[in-house]
Amino acid sequence: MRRTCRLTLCAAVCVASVLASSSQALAGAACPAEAGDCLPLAVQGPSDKAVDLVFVGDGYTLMQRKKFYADAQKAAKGVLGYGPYAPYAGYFNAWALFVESPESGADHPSKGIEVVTAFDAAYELQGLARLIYVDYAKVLEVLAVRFPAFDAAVVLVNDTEYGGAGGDIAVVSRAEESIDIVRHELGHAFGWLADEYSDPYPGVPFEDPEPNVATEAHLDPLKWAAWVTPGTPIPTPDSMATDVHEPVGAYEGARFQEKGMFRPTPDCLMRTLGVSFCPVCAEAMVLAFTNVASPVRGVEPPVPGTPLCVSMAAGRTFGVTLAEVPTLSATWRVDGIPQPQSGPNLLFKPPAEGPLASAKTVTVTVHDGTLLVRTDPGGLLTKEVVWPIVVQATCPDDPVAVEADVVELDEIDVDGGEIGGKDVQETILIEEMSLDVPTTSIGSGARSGCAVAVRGGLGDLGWMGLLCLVAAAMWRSRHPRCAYRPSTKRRVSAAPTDSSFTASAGAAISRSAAAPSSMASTHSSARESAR
Amino acid sequence: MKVVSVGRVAAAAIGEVRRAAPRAPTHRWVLRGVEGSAVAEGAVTSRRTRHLPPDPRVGQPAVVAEVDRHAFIVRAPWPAAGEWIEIAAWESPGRRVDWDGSRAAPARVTP
Repeated sequence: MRRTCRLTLCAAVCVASVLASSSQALAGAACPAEAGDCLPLAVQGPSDKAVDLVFVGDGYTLMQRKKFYADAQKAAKGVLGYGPYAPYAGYFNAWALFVESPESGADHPSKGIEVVTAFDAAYELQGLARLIYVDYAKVLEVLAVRFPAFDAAVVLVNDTEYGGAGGDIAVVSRAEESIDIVRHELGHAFGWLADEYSDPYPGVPFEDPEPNVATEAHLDPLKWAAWVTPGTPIPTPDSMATDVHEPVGAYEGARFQEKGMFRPTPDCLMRTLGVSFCPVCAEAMVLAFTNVASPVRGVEPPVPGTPLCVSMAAGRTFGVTLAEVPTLSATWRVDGIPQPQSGPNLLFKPPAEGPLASAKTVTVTVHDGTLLVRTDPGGLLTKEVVWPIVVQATCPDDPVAVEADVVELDEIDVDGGEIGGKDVQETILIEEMSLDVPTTSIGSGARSGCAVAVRGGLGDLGWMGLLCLVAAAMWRSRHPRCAYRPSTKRRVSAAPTDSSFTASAGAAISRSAAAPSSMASTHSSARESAR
Repeated sequence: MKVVSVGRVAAAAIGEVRRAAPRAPTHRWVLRGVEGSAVAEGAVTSRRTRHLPPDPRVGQPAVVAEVDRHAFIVRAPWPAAGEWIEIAAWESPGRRVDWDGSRAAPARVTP
């Protein structure tokens, strides 16, 4: 009779270690070397696979460096925690670049206030009190040298008076309400949204290429027809408005025109600061995020140029790492036949006969099921990755399996049992377990916790992980009756799931049929192609 | 792809920015090979205006202003030896800046 060894303390220590390592991973996210004095505010993925939002400051002296970073952190939260940005924060990286100004604040010409700052920030551009000017050339020169991969930039002006400016770069003061200017400007930058206000702007062409405005000639079919509240007349009289966003219809007055240009809702952030995005604009924003940042952060194994060998004996595990966006899901097909397994990993073991015995492709479809989008003509919410495969009896890289096998009978705690066996084998075993166990299983079993902690090598352990290993070694030295025993038995269990893993007696663990550490995590992000 | 490399074009007086939709192209760039053929090309959208939407919280209407001095970034492959990048306003391609990738050398402005 065999019983499972339990390593309670180790589990606790190791889970703590995993959490600590996770925190360290976020905290350890570094700015690019060329970024200079820089603070990562939120890092969700490699720069080429995420939206890079960069904050720079003007009017912050060297003594106000910490203040700038605090302001940038607050601004980043103000954007990424807002409206349609919030569920897609997993697509965004946010960075703060400190730029020293000789003096603090900004110019206020009417008050006779003039200060020397890095980007020459000044209120009252062309006599308009709250319109802030900054020298774009200077800002862009900093960005080009220190963070050329930026997707959108925001200049934070160290002044508490309300103000800002939209343009290619958003400019905002430290005033609380100013953050809406950034949200609005990113509506232009990412969502390709038009201004919906009616205030005249002489000379602007009368056209409606943006998703949130339509001329009278384009009311049927209406580009946001999927959102129109049933029964709402088109055009929609203002008197029908029951709320800022209700009902969705076609209201006259938008894009600098009082007549002949229509908008979807009575009000919207693209029309008035202080109002949230209407559903049509939110949809455009989501599609734009997805157009810039891919939901797929990585795949394993890499998609090869030639078909990938899948052995009938061992099968092969395929994995996809997703961005941290809650509405993403992954489904799998083999030669177009849906597989019952869903989630980030698929273990495909070809059957001996039937159509899949000679399968040619494994496909994962990543879909964003967000309710914020009703129309996706470009298919942006769905991505596919296809692995060409060839099924063979065996493959050169078939896994060499070892068995996690507890040979003694005692119920064992840290201070009452031991895992015997050879150190090397144990080390290998833990690593193999680490490869095999999704991170979501941490805490569900003592060794799965240990395994995750070990994953990635000693360098990633941190002191908690090392403590775990030391505890395990001490335990093992005191309790020789409980040992891991290597085995040549091939994997017999199903692919690991997100539910749990316990190293119970007789469990066999495959060496390489499992996903590597990067795939064990359920979510992440990526942009696969050109922006 | 993201940025390949970044250089600065000085004195790029290359025409008026179109008063257009926020995302309508305003400038175009072409990477010319040694023989002058187009190796790569792309569009730039850069607005000369600075604006603010209305904000009833502070009792302010919308404001729009055009600035005299404007700048933008062109993201393009870095020119190899003998290659250069042409940058021109979308609607006045005859007036352009040529840039050969040298940070030190000023851009050649073709009137």
